Amino acid sequence: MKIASRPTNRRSPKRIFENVLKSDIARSFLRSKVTILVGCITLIFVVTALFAPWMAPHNPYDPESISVMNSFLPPAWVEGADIRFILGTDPVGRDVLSAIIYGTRTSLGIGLASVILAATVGVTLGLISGYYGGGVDAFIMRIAEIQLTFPDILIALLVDGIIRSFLGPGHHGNISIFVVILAISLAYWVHFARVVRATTLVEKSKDYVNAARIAKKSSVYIMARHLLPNILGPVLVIATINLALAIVTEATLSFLGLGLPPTQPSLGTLIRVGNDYLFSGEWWIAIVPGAVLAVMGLSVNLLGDWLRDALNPKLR
Amino acid sequence: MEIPTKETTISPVDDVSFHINTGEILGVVGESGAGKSITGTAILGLLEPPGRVSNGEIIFDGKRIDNLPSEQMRLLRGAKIGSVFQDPLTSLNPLRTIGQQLTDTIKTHLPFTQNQAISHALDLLKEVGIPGAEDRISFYPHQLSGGMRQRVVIALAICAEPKLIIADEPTTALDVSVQAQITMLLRRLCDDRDAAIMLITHDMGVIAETADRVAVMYAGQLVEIGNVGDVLHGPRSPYTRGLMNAIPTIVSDTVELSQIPGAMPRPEEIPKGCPFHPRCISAIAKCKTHRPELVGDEHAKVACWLYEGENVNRIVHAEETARQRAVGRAETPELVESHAPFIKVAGLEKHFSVPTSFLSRLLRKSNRTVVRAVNGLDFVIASGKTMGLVGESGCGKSTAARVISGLYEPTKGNISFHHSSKSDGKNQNQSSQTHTDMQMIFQDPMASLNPRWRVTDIVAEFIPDRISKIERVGELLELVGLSPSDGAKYPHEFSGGQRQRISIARALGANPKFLICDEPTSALDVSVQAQILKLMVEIQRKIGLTYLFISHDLAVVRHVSNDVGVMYMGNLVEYGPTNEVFSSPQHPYTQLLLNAVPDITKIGISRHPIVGEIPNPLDPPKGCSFHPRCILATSQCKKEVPKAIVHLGVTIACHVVNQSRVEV
Repeated sequence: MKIASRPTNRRSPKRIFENVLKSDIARSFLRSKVTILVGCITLIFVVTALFAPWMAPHNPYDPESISVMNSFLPPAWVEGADIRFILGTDPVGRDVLSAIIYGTRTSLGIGLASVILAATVGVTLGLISGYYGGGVDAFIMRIAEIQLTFPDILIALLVDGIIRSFLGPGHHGNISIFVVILAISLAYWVHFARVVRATTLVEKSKDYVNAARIAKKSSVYIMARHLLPNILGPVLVIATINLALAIVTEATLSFLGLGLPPTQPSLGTLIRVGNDYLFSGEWWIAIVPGAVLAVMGLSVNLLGDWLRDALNPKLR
Repeated sequence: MEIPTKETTISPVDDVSFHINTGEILGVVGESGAGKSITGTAILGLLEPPGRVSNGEIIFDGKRIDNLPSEQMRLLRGAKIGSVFQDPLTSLNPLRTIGQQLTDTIKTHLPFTQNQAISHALDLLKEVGIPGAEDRISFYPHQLSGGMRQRVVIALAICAEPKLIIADEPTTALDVSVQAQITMLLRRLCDDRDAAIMLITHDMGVIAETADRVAVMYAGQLVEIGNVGDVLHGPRSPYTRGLMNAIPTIVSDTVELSQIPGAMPRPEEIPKGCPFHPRCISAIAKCKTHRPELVGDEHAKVACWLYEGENVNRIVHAEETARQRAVGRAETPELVESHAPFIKVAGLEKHFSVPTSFLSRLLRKSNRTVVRAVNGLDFVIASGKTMGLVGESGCGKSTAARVISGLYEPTKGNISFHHSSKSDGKNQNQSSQTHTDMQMIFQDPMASLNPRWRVTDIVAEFIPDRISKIERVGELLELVGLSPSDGAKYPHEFSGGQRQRISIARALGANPKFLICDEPTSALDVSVQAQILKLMVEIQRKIGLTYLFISHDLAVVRHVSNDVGVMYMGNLVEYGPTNEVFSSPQHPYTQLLLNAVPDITKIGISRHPIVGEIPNPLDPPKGCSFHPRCILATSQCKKEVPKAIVHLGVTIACHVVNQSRVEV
């Protein structure tokens, strides 16, 4: 299985680019139009998130730019709109477009951070579980299985609730973003651990691992240098699919009022605010962020599906 | 029946024409990638799209069949053309009994009722030599052993009296003793039923034994075809000649294996002209540009330009020069060779406990079922020597290797290493000494290298830190016949033989004194096997390594080892100097094993196959574990486990033989 291009001795940038285009991954990417489309959409989201301060027409965090006078303005194509607010404004007069752009930044950031944390915990525990086997394996996997019997969102809610009750209401605003990340990653590490364990079981019986064991290399060395590079393929696939899940989970938590406070725009908080006005005519406040969330979740998910198929030599 | 053939899109098979007469076995032989299997698949009409026969035709029984619609072809397959494939387990449906599978096939092709079909199925099972067919007909495939399964597959293939049977490597997955039974069965079927058999195999021995005519394929082309006797005793094409000389035989160990440089080209890289010319030691200018046609008489045809005009002597001449050069290289002064024991294995045992169900644990008194994979192994390897360990699959030879290498803890017994007096002087820590002194080379060249590492990193892995690694990696790669620039590549860019070279280079990086080789060449083609064996012998001469060489291939073991041990069900039944054991085998198992190996120098069946198969290791026979298959077995053999007795340097564990040996 090959992820990137084949490295050669002659590594001019042009040649590397050509090799990337020629590699199996690139070829399978270019073969499907849907994959190209969702790839582009995901790229747009990532760029938007990275450059939010430069792309948003207004700063939703700047109280001076917000005026209650501008509240409940409809999107540009509806009668009575203000051209400065293309997607309209919310109850406090924030520009919905800017809020969505900043919200994308928050949502993607939380999604990425929690996936990285979940992957780190999951890969480590999965490797240990698969490599050592026996009692350690049984202990870790039983915890994982018990956790799997609860829905992920319930775990996230539980973790979130426990942390909040420990910290008390005072600290809530500042650290809420980290609480959400921790809650999501504790809900998702199991997915990583199980797959990593299964792959480790296959890889550790291969002879290159036996060769290292005969040479009395340490277990940590074997896990880090031999096993880790060989399990990253499946990990990458789960990470992509879990990124979509994490984004949606964050939105759910925020929607339920357990994630971020309404002052910090994330897609979930925007939908929550808009939800109150959904039936009073101001539909855009909830519908537009909702659509953005749906598109983002779908794109990342489809990208993950493609990656899973592309890295599976049997389906190639 | 005439089958002139065809050409596929990237031409894995290119302009191959041959015919098979009724009542004849045509052996198709060649190394992997020669296009022999795809030829068989094409005749069966089972080419995977987009593969197709792009040129030529297949004529079966006077009718052209390569352009038949798939429905008609389906009826033809099974009824007129039967097939037998390599893996008997995947050829059978694991969810249905063999009886159901047989009767289904019979009823598809013959107008039989259920009862008639069952009785026909029973007849077939008896014909292919399955004892107790009445009981076994209701067995599922997993309840049968590999040899029995292959018999069932053959019964399926012949159930509708086919005129042609395509057997693709039917014996490759089986042990030597069972292999002999199956080849005899094929020969008998061919004679009794007057069917034509296309026997595809890489094993020249099987061909020598069963086939009437043989076709040698190379890179999708026929290089030689003719009567078995003519081709095997007087091979004409340089490829066939090289191949024949590259096969080690059990008859003698004196002949140096000849080398065919390089490896089979990939189907997309087949060179112009004669496809063999880049590897041919006697190629002439014309070989590079023009493709030779098959020429010759009825008995043997060859595709080679050297048989045109005055060039014939060139082949013999080139071979002679190559041989002399090889001998010259072999005469490099040998390093200090001591006869002191280097490794001593004493009473080694390794048992595995098989988890049993809770219920059977309640019912039985013993709560564990134990498999005695290695059950008392004693041997000594002298420094700089090679000890060969042979036996059929499941005899415990690989387990023994893993215990000695330290991958498994021994259940009983000990392994001691004696270092040469030089390294003992510094009084180094024993445990840290042994691990760098010992390395292992594995069977599967793909799984033994980490696919994510570059070759440089792989080879550098076990090099001690103090030495400058990069230089050493270059040296090692050159030593094993690769170029230092190969270091930047990944393992998947190499062929099987090259990967095995990388494995050897990695092992040598640790400066080992002792190398355990677990079937190092059994995944390789014959010509590549010869290269690797030669490399290993050369390295042993240069560095003075001690080898433990494990293989199921008796000829290979005879070729490389000084001492040999024959294992059966975890026990060493015979152990002694290689020449002694091979020239006058004494234990009945060794005798039968040697007899079961097909001999490429003899045409036709000349051996008596061993009856039966290796017993279930969970329930080994009492007494001598070989007694159910032994022709000499006495009542004593059924009760007492024979003791190993050393006599004239040969250790044998057998009641009957030891009695007569001691008396004499």
